[in-house]
Amino acid sequence: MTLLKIEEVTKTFGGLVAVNAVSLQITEGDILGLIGPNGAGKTTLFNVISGNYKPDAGHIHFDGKDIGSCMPHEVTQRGLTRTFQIVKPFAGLSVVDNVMVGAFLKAPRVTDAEKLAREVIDFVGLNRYADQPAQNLTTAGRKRLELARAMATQAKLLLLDEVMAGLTPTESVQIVKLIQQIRERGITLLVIEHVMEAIMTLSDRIAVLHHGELIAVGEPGEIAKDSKVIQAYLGEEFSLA
Amino acid sequence: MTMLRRFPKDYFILAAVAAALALLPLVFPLSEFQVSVAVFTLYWALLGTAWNIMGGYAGQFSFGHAAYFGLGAYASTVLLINYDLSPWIGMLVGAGLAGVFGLVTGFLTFRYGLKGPYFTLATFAFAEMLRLVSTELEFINTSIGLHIPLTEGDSWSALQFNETPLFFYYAILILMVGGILVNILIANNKLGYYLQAIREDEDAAASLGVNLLRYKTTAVVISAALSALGGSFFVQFFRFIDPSLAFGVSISIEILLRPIVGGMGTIWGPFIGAVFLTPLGEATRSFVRTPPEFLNSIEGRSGVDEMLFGIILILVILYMPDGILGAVQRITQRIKKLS
Amino acid sequence: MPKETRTRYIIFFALLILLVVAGLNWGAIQEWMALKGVVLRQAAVTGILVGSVLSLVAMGLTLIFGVLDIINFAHGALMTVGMYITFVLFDRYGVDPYLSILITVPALFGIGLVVQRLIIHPARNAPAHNQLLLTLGLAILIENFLLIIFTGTPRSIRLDYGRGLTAVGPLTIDFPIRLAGTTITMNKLAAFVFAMVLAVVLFYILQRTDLGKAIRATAQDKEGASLVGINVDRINLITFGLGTACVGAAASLVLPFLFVDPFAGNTFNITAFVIVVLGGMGSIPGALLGGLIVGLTQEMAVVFLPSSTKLLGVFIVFVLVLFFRPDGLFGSKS
Repeated sequence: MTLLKIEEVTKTFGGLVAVNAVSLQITEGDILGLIGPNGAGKTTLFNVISGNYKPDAGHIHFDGKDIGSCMPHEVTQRGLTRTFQIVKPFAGLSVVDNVMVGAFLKAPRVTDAEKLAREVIDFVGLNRYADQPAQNLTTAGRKRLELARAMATQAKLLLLDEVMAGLTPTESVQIVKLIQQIRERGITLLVIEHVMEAIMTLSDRIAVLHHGELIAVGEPGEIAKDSKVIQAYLGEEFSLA
Repeated sequence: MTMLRRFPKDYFILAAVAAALALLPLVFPLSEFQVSVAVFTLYWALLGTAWNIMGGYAGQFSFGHAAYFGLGAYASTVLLINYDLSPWIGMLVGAGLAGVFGLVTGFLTFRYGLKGPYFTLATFAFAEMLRLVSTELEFINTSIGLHIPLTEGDSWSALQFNETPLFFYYAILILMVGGILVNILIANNKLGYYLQAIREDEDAAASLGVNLLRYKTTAVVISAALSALGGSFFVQFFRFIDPSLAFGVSISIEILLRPIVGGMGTIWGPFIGAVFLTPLGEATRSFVRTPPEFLNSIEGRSGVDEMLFGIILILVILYMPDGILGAVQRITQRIKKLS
Repeated sequence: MPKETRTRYIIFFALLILLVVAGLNWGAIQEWMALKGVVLRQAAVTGILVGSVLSLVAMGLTLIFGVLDIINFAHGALMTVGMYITFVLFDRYGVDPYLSILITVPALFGIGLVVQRLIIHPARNAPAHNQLLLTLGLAILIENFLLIIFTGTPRSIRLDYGRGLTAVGPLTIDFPIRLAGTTITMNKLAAFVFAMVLAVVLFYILQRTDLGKAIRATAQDKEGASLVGINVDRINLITFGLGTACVGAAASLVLPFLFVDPFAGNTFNITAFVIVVLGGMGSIPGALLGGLIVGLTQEMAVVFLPSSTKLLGVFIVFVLVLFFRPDGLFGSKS
């Protein structure tokens, strides 16, 4: 069943159309990859979905309800949680305290929240650092923390914004595995990524944005051969057409 | 150190400190002067704890806590003078009034997106406006101020102890323990975590489902109510209130001094800050009253203790920005690493 | 509808209602104007004259904020220092306050340099509220230090010229000047003239000199400025000194008509903050204009709300600006 439905969503800033009448659907349990050259409007689209920006036109339906006018915290409360491209750990708190903030959404009692948090921390592999200050973590660790925190909200849909940015290839492979494990738990994912191998491996379907417009949607194999996509990334000369 | 293990620990410490403070005057008989120093220490600890909830935990830096303090002070005093209402009840009314004031001003400032220095300046402006307005209000006797009607002897219901000032010490001890208890309850539960998340990163907090407006305002309301309790107590102890004493900027500054020196965003920071600064201030003041021979020129001059506070504040911010508790934590961590 | 549009609608309707009420009561208003007209005019004149000094103080504060990104709570206290220097120079050595500007400006500049280097600079990477607290600690330190040395007794000076016929260069002016029913005293006029001159000097420094360019560049983009070879630390140092020098000048200008006590700078501190927020944090023209507006508001408020202090009107403006237009008139930094 369709979990997230984006209909003709448009977002402009002054004279610049960052997202232009984009329509997308995500089926529950899927991983949808969102790619496109820099400045294509991917993060803007994320921000519109997550409630940080209001769409200038179009609708966003999540789990059957229109969330276009929701504030960011309301969107999360409905089961859609996002991560940030530049991670935002709660630096003054320990790792487990960080994740507990996410856990409290569905587990208001302290003991339950801590239990849930430690479970999630174990899942992402940060057990060793659970009681240490979050600021002691490496970049890779912080990415896992960001994931753990988002997962702790027990969201149905996670929006991951360039989770692999700043990671070494080895670390990226680990994150890919982690994301697959997250999906196995029944969580739907919308993932922005630049690391092509990762996104091709991960995604059931891929959507490609360019200059704010959706230029292609389909399975990874098709997208890799799509001439419009190649043109967008590499320019006219390389298109196969 | 999981929260599960920390949970009972905080209450034990509170109980132990409360017991120690309760027994203190029985073990070491205190002179009247020492009693008043002790009273002020606990009183600033209460106010500092109140401030800390908003400033230390939620990260909303208030420069105008005198507003809540003064509202509490005037509320209970007016009710006492006009309706003979016990200050214990008056203090609750004051807390309610301050809470509402905090609710309205907090809601407005957060709704309109005031952050950082703008927010701080706004809190300052609100306190100053209350001060200026109260110098014009007849029913609180304008800038002349109000005196508590004096009764005979000691009375717990009237919160007036003319024969045994020590009872003031126990009264403020009860209030302070209550305040710290509230703080512990907050810190160890969802509210505390959410407030700290807001302090650390508002966007991230919102992305995790935290309603920023609601929780920031909640912090302000609680902080305001607790401050008002301190305000009511102050008038009973000092027996006099006027607009400057109630809403003056020096009150706002003194309130935030202790938690900062002691350690913001911690349960015991304000208490430690109060224990460190208040007796120090008193000692400095008595020193200035009767200085040794070679410092005769400063005899009787006011301002030495305050100047000392200014120097301490600067030194703490420069060299111990996490306050005394923060420095202690860092030292113990370093010791742990070595062993 | 978005917040800004809603705000504009509110302001528009408020003004509309105000106009309607005014129209309905035009007769009464005319009577009142005739009665209070003179008082209003005097308030306006005094407001602009005094406002110029407030502008000077605010320009210093906004300069510091624009470049160093800190709210300098010690600004008022430093002004008090300048006032005491001016007082001592006059009281002990008979130095004319307008002449002592030549001393207070470099002195306060120097003090500013020392303060920045010793106290502000070490905490430059600390969170914003730490820096706020540092300047607060400094303010407490300075005010109480002055209290210890000079005690709390208010001091003032009285110039033996400036009343009646006075030679001002080639002209002979009869002070106080009477203009359209208002009275302009020499002290306030001199303050206005000097403040405006210094404002022009400040503009010149900022717009026409290399130093000024460097300062403006740093204010706009610290990283970018350092990348093009500007020594940001040095600019921070000089800018703080410059901002403090402004209050040094202002201090000398106000002593002829104000008392000085250890806490005299406080009202200027508060008012300067309001002006800076009103004019836009970091905007020099905003501070200049804002100073005049606030000066006007202060004086006019007393006419309309007779029993209140000047400060209340200022605060009402302050809160309104904070809520409706926090970026100020010339809002740049946010």
